[in-house]
Amino acid sequence: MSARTHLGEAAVSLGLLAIGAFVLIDTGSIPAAQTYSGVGPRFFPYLVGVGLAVCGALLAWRALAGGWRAMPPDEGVHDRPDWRAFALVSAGVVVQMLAIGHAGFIIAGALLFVLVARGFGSRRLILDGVIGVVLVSVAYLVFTRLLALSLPAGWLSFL
Amino acid sequence: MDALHALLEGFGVALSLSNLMWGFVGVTLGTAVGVLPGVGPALSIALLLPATSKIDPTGALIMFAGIYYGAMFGGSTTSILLNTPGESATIITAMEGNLMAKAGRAGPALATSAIGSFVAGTLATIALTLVSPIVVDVALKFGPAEYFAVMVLAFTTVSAVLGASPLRGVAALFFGLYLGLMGIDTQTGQARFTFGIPELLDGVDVVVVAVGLFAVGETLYVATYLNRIADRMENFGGKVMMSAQDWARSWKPWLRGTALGFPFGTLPAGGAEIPTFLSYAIERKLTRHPEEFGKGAIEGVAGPEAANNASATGTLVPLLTLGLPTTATAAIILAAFQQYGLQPGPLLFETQPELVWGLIASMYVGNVILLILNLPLVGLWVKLLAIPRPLLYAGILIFATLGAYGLRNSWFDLLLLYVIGLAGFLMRRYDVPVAPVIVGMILGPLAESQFRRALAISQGDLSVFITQPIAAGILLVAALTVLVPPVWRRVAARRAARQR
Amino acid sequence: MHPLRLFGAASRLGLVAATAALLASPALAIDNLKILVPANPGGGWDQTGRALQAAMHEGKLVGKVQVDNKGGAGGTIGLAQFVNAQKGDPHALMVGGMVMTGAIAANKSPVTLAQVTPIARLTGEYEVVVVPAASKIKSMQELVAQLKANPGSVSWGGGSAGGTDHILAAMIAQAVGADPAKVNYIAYSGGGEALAAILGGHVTAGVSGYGEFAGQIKSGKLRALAISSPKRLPGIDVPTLKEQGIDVDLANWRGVFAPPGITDAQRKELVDLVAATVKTPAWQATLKKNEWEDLFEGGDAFKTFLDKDIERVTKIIESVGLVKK
Repeated sequence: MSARTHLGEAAVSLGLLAIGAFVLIDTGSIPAAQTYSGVGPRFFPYLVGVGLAVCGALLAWRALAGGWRAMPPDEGVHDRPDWRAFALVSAGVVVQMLAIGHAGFIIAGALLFVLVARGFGSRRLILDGVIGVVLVSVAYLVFTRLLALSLPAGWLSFL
Repeated sequence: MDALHALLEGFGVALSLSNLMWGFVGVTLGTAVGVLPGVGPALSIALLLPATSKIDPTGALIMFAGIYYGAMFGGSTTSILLNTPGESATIITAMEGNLMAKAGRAGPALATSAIGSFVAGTLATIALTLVSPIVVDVALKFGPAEYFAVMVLAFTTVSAVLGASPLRGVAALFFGLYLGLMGIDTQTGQARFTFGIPELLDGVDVVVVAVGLFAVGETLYVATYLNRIADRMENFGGKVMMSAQDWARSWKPWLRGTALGFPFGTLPAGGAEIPTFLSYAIERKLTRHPEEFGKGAIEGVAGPEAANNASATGTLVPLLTLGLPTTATAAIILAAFQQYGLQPGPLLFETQPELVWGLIASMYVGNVILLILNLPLVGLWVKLLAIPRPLLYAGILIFATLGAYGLRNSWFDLLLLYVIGLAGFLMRRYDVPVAPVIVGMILGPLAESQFRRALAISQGDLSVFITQPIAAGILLVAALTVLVPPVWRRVAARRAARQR
Repeated sequence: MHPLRLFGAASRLGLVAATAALLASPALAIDNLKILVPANPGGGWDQTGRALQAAMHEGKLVGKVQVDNKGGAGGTIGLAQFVNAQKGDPHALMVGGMVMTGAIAANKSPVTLAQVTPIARLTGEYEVVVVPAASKIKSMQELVAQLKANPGSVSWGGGSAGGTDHILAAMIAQAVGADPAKVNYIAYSGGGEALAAILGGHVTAGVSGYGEFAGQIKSGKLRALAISSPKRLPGIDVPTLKEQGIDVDLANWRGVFAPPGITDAQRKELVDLVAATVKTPAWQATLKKNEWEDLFEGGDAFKTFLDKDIERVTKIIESVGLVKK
């Protein structure tokens, strides 16, 4: 297995350890209310914090000492990550998040659709856009007409 | 027999043309909303309530019961096909179900889920007809100590989902427990791990986490690592219908799932999530094909699907006999009763027998409608997977995000979904199992609040867990599930050594 | 202006004009009203908002009413949005209630009800104290006696910590001279779970809105010890706390608010609108159907009530130790 994989494993383990440490520290700031149970709002967080930290530490140790155990065979799947696709899919979600309030539910959803399809290698942007609009519009109608929930119409509010 | 006679008259009510139509409308509508994550049966019924105040109560209630069932079923369809669970009760289904779909067995997965739901729903309705009063008496005996014991029992079966490396599985479990801690502490009202973000005060919804880990994480992973290598991973060959072997492997899980789901549904704090998870763990222990678990084993779909449908019926037991709503959906159905000036409870069976038995009969009918509606659609659903990959995954993300957004109209929920998706991506890349996260999130908060409630009532006396017979009994079973298998293995090994 | 938006505005204008002409109603002072429900669909606030919408439509009081949901954190998320985004908007209302005053105090919300313009109190529900039928406690006096002797031995089952049920339990303790911080309150999520715990005898007593326990009280499975109304309610044979010597009354009220920064004339317009709305047959029918108590109080009277209520709720929440002073 590649050294890069082991580095990634170590990073994930340390991330877990960091979350555990954060939980332990942050638990101290939860106001400890007096209760009849004798078990306040801090007890379980402390347990979970310790658990996370111990798992993180053990995993980090294994990653550095030759890699995690019982990993599935890699078969070269992870050798050539396509970060452009990763970025396009991520951009889809982020753009939708930012646009949904102003541009509206349908436009934001269609943008997400186009970006994700592009991330997966589609080149028919216009066709993707049309399919996206149709799909999201159906969801929009279910929400607003059938369930009478209001969703941002945004730039299409004239409809 | 009085109940039987009443039931027959109930069928007369349920099979009237207009009530059949309401049942059909409900089941169809329920399937539609079940498909959207975040939009569940409770919400749909709540929003339809004002519109139904003018139709006759029997018809409206039959429609609502249909929505409840239909949603359970719609949730499993997206779980299996898109790995995007629409309801919390169908998260477990996504695990083996989606793997089956990827192995080209989406048809049998959907079929076992549809038929299993039908079997479970029908059996549970029979149980509802016959044993309601007794079951309710037992259910009320469950207090915080008993529930905590049940949670402990559930935790002992967690090893079934830990995956290849127990350490990574436990790490994932703790991550789930941490996510479950976020929000306002139920017992003292203190905010925990909310980073000053008001949206986090209500905690993180388990459906958002499931959709983030499963659907968003998976989409990111496939885009980054698999898309360029293989043009298409999924196998679309394979039969649509279940083979004889599928039937042989499904019927026992259906029955076991029903036996788990129904009693859990009747428990006031039972719900549908824990029985589906327990059913999965049990099927994994009992299967003759342990090598298939993790690659798409039909037992892992059949059991949980039966369990969630049986529990949906089970929740109607305390609702009809006591007027006790045990889930959000049941609470809304109760509100629907009250809208018509009806108060569920023992008196309802006497004052409105036509309505109650009509409703019960309509549940038998509703299950048949569900089956008729869905079996022919299986072939159509499976074709969904033949959609070119860019469109398929774009569609999955549309479903994942729109449901999450629609509920609160908050972009924060989309951010949360993406952040959890990133975690899911890393977990997939480094072979950390995601199921324990879900299990931790479901069991953790319940275990904590029941534990603290039990101790508050006893004023800090830990002996409540062993002096109450039911709690002590369940804890004993939990201890045995942990202790017996290793001891058993050792004894068997020694015996084998002696024989040699 | 974006051409599309211009088109939108034009078509909307046309629509409004058409509606106005169609109705030919002189009272149509507000043609477009937004009601914000600071909770997810389905709950009491949502029902209130949607019932107002229906009543305004049916009474032809407003051209178009739109209901928006923005749930979370006991209504404080919706409140913050209302204060920030709707500031100065004379045609917006927000549903709110007593639960919100509790949540603001408990969550240390940066935005409070002091920042919005009170319009009217609409409805309310009184709380009831119950014990299971099999309980050895027969009266409020016996419960109080046990509470005074050993506060920890009386476990109170009810809704979320810091909610109306918890507040009532603390007020009762305070009124009878026990320490409200010593109330052994067991919080349950949702009425069903609490009800099950009470019916099963797992807690000593239960507190909840009367409606939630009404069926069980009528069928004799629960014994109602006291109700939190100031006077006995018609049709409900339960003694009040006051007549049993406990000087507490509490209504889980709901009302509507307008954004900050509107003029007195605009405020009066909204108060008049809501006053006209509650007189419609549609609204009266809703009250009856949901068994909501009609507690309508508009404008200044509501403001006086609100100030007093916020003060006492905040105080009681502090006294049970939910907020660090």
